Formats: sequence, structure tokens, C-alpha cells
Amino acid sequence: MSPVVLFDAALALGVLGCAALALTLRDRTGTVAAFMLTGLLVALSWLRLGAPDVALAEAAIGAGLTGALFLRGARRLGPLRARPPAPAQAAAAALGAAVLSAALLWAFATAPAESLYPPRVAAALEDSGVSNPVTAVLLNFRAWDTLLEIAVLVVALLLVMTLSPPRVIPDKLGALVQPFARIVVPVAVLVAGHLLWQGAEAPGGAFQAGAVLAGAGLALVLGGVRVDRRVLRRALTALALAGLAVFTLAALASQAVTGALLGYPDGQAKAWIIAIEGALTLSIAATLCLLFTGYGRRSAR
Amino acid sequence: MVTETSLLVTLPFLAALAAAAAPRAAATLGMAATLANAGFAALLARALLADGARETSLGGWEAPLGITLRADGLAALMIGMTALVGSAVALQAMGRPAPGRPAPAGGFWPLWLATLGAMNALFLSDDLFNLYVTFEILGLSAVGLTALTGSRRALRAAFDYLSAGLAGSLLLLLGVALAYAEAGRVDLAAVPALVETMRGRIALALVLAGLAVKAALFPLHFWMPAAHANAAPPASALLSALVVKTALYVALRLSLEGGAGIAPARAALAVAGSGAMLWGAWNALRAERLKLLVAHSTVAQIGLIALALGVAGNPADSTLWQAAALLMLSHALAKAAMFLAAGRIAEELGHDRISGLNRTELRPGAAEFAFAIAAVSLIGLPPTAGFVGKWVLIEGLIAREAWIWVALVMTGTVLSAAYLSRVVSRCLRGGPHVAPGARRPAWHMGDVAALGLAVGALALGLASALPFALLETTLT
Repeated sequence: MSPVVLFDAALALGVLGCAALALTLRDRTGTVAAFMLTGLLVALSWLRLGAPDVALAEAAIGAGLTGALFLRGARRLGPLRARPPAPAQAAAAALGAAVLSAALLWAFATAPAESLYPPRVAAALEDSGVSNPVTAVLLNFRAWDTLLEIAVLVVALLLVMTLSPPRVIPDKLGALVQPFARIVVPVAVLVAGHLLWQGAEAPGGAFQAGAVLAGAGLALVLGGVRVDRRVLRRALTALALAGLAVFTLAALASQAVTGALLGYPDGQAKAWIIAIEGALTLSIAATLCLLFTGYGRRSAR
Repeated sequence: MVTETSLLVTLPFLAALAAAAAPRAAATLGMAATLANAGFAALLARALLADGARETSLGGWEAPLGITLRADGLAALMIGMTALVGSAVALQAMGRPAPGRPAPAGGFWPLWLATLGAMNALFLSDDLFNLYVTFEILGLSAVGLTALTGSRRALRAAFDYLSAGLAGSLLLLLGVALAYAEAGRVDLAAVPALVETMRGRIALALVLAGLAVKAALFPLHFWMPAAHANAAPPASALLSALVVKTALYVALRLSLEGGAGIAPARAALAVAGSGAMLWGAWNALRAERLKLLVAHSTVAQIGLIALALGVAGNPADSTLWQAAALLMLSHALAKAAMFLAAGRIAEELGHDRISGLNRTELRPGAAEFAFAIAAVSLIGLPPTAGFVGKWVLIEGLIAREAWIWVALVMTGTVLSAAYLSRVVSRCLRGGPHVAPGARRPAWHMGDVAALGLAVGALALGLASALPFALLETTLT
């Protein structure tokens, strides 16, 4: 057996094991830790499957920020009270899951190996303005999906605004937090800018860059920057909402120019894409930060 | 040039952002955007009736590489339904800030406008993955609308709704992924190819299962009565009248695209629909609270629509599916009227126990009147829109000699008459039941909205030629 196959097998077992841990641990922090570990291993799997874009997004958003949000929620929920399901319920769930898994396993294992979509993307890539096919699909061919996904993020933020969970003011973490933030924040800003720019021809783009920038924001929050100042919060909110506004207005503007909604003018596609992605990066970062810090009038430690 | 189609899918989002950024002006902005949206919906319908259905390739990329917006009669009808019900509900929400705690000013408006944008995008979408994304927006914004009152019950119902919605989304996404693996494309034109293979059929089954959760189709309706009964009245009206329809609409689209090959799915819809009709009616008969009765009646009515979708047969050789579309429309109008009226009744009485509806010191008001008209439409008595929908359905079934389905629809009708008369009979109180000096409830914006919708359901029955003419506008 070659080492690559061994690595893949270990990876698959690791994903399953961590997922099982996340489901069975009786301690919320432990559960979240197992969840984050699962996310990292899944990100590695994406890398092995040749999808570095997805791997980046999974590591930054799936494992990192979702984990941070879970930890934030877990602190408010108190200890876990286990309520084992009724045997009949458990049996029904197991049966349903087994049937579904078997059907999916068979379906995906026998599915055609060659997909018809990538050749179509490759054929049109030249006219898309970028050379990274993932960015071409996300910001040009299927930009409408991406616009609506940004709307999903905005609605998530609206929910946090409306339900106003208590704001987080983190405990003092110790002497090393501020020096850590001083190093990490500038590096994260650089990395985010790099990911954004590189997205045009290599893995990267607004979602990954935004997530990294949000990580820098969280480092600042943990380092003691008070986000409950009104001005700062308003500015962040405006920034968070601006992404969808820019994208939507750009869509309408492009229709006014070319006649097609989200149809970029000939030869200028790259400029439009980078401009939209720039706005999205800032907006995604602001949204993720605000989702973590919250809007409530009360504050929690 | 910017078309009404693109304004329908962009303006609500821009308005939602503006309303979120300027909470003080949210109500004004929201109302203006809702009315503008109604105007664009009317323009679209008029354009379609004049020039026929149209397709727009977004970004100039044709499907299956890009995404297409398809504006045909069915989509325009649903957009019109959303615009109409939305305008009435917005009017009600204008009248008074959302009841309950002093929620962040205007919390209702951004959520409603995002819902509106997502629904317009969903009705125009011609792409499975794009439909999934619109469902994601809708799922979250609908949870927000449920939780808006901030009461403990509402939060609990919202959380259950979120969990059920996520389960539905996951099934849907799995189905879309499998469809992509099988066909290499996710536009709806792939559906005829998907019904040909086993893998494709599994993919479609997963998509339909996800839709069934989202439409609260029996036996996957468990989350719905609590969510719809505990939300604030305008939110309940939007959720029950509009949001559950989106999943039924997509099921109808798949049925139209799939043709003869998708017959087993249609049979499943019909069976689940019959179950829903009976189970929902049974629970509505036993409900103790008015809003819960109305919510259970939604389960039953969703069942009727699913049944109509299921028995409609291959759309290539039968137009029976139009009955299902009309039933969706009439249910939207009547159910929104009913929830708004129920909210007003509860407001005047101070509670919403059905047993306490006939109080001697309070005369019945406009809200009771609106509730009664809406009930007439839901039961399906002439001349309401509900009657026309059921008439077309039963006529088609009789012509096909499908007596079992006729009997089921009739049973459902009798049951709906039974549970709705629990309320309506108490609304008709008068004479000896009302004390001489009884108070009359004051007029309120909510009464106007509820009455308007109920009268709309009535008028639509008389003017049902218009929706049918619109439904004839298809691409092929």
C-alpha cells in the first residue's frame, strides 16, 4: 500500500472519528473542539480531492469562524443535559440514515466520472476576465448565486440584529494576547489582500480573504479592542451591509451598460470582478465579526 | 435597459439594506418598496399577457453554463400573489409597530423585504442550485419573522423551524449535488434526463423530500403549527400564506418539467396530500386556540394543494395543474386574511381561546367579518377563488372517473367546513348573546388589510379568467 493511500485512509477515519466525538462528547467545549478538528480534516480532504478553494473556505469559515460562533453560544447555554432518544426513535433514525447512506454511496460511487460542466467552463474561461475557473464561475458565470449567497449572510446579520443576543466582552486572556494580535493582525491583512488579488488566477477570492480578515478582527476583539463603541459598531454595520448593496447596484449598472443583468462590459470583466470582490471581502469580514460580537444592549463575559 | 424582471429581484434587497441601515425610516422605505414591487409585478403580468413568456440569461451566459431567469405565466402569477398579500400585510404592519417587546425599531421590515426578494428570485429561477440558495435566504428570514415577538414560545418555535428548515435544505442540497454528478448541469432543463436513470430519480426524490419538509407536507409538518401560531400576526400571515407555497411551487415546476417520467413522485405527493388533509383537519377540529386552528388548517390546505399537484397527471396532456396553481393563489389570499383577522380578534378580546370567542360585552367587528369571508373561500363555496380552484380540480377528476380522489377532496371540504364553523358560528353571534350596551371594536389598519385580502379572495373567484389566461402563458 502506498503512503498516499495510507494517508487518505487515515484522513477518512479521522474525519469519521472526530465527527463521532463531536456527537458523543458530554462537554460543550469538547464537542466544539471536535467539530473544529473535523472541519480541519475535511479541509485537508478537499485539498486531497484537488479543490484548494473549497479547502481554504472550509478551514477559515467551516472550522474557524463557525467554531468561534459555537464556542460563543456554548458559553451562554450552560452545561449539556443529555436526553437519550427513545429506542424506537433511535432505531427509526438509524434505519433512515442507513438507507439514505446506502443509496447515496451507491449513487455517488456509480456516478459518471467525467462531469460535463468543467469543459463548458473551460471553453468560456477566456471571456470571463479571470483565469481561475472557480472565480469565473462564482463571479461571472453564476454570479447571481453568489449575490444571493451574500444576501444569506446579510439575513444572518439581520437575525442577530433583531434577536440581539448579549454582546461579548471577552475576559482578559493574559499578557501575550496583545503582542500576538500585533503580529497576527498585520499579517492577516496582508494575507487577505493577497488571497483577494490572487483569486483571479489561483485559489483564493472574496470569501477566503474575508474570513481571514475576520480572523484578524476577532484577534483584535480578544486583544481588548472594544467593539461596543457606537461609532465603531455603526461603521462595521454599514460596511457589512455595503457588500450586497455594491453587488446589487453593480448588477443593475451592468444591465444599464450591456443590457444583461450581471453582464460585464467586454474587456472590463476583471476590473468589475475585482471591484465587487474587494467590497465583498470587507463586507464579509465585517459581517463575520459582527456575528461574533453581537448587538445586544446587555453584555456577557 | 433595466427590466421589471431585474427590478423585482434586486429592489427588495436594496430596500432591505436601506431599512436595516436606517431603522427610523424602515416603515416608510418598506412600504414604498412593497408598493413599487407590486407595481413591477403588475407590469410583468401585463407584459407577459401581451408578448408571451420570456427568458433572460444572467450575465449573457446561457444555461447550463450560466443561470436563466424564466418569466412565464405561472411565475408571474406567484409574484403577483406575493405582491398582493405582501402589500396587505405591510399595510397592517405599518398601522402599528410589531406587537410584543419594544423590538429594535423596524425589525420586521428588513426581514420582510429580504423574504420578498428571495421569493421573487425563487419564482423566476430556472436552476436547481439557484433555487437552493433562494431557499437559504427564505429559511433564515422566515425564522427571523417567527422569532420577531421575542416571546419564549416564539423563540422555541423559531428554533424548531430552523432545525427542520436546515434538515430540508440539506436533503435539497444532497439532491442537487447528486443531480449535478449525474447530469453535469443543474438547470431545470436537466430534469427530463434525470427521470431516465436511477441515480437521477434518487436525486429528484431527495429534492422532493427536502421540499416536503419546507412545505410542511404531512408527515413532515411537525414544526409548522407551533411556528405559525406563535409568530406575530403579520409574520404568521406571510409564513402561512406565502413562504410554504414556495416549496409547493418548486414541486409544481419539477412536475411540469418532468412530464410523464415523474409520475411516481406525483403519486407520492397525492398520497401525502390526502394524509395531510385529514390529519390537519382532525387537529384543527381539536385545537383550542384560534391561531393554532388556523395553522392546522394550513397543514390541511397544503395537503389539498399537494393532492391537486399529485393527481394533475402529465402536464403535457392535462391542464389540471392549473387548478393547483389557483388553489395556491386562493389559499394565500384567504389564509393571510385569516391570520390578520385572527390577530385582530385576539387583540380585541385579549386572548385567542376559541371557547371564549363569544363574549357578551363585545360586538363582532370587521375582523370577524373578514375571517368569515376567508373561511368561505377556504371551504370552497362560490363565488370565491377557492371555489373555482376546487371546481376545476373536481371537474377534471370526474372526467377521469377518479372517484376515490373526488371522495377525498369532498371529505376534506366537509372537514374544513366543520372546523372553520367552530369559529365562524361564534363570529355570527348576535341577538340574545350580545348585551344591549356592547362595545364595538375600533377600526384598525389590520381590519382594512384583512378585509381587503378576504374581499380579494372573493373577487378573484369572479375574475378567475385573468389567472387562467396568465397560466396559459408558457415558454413552449
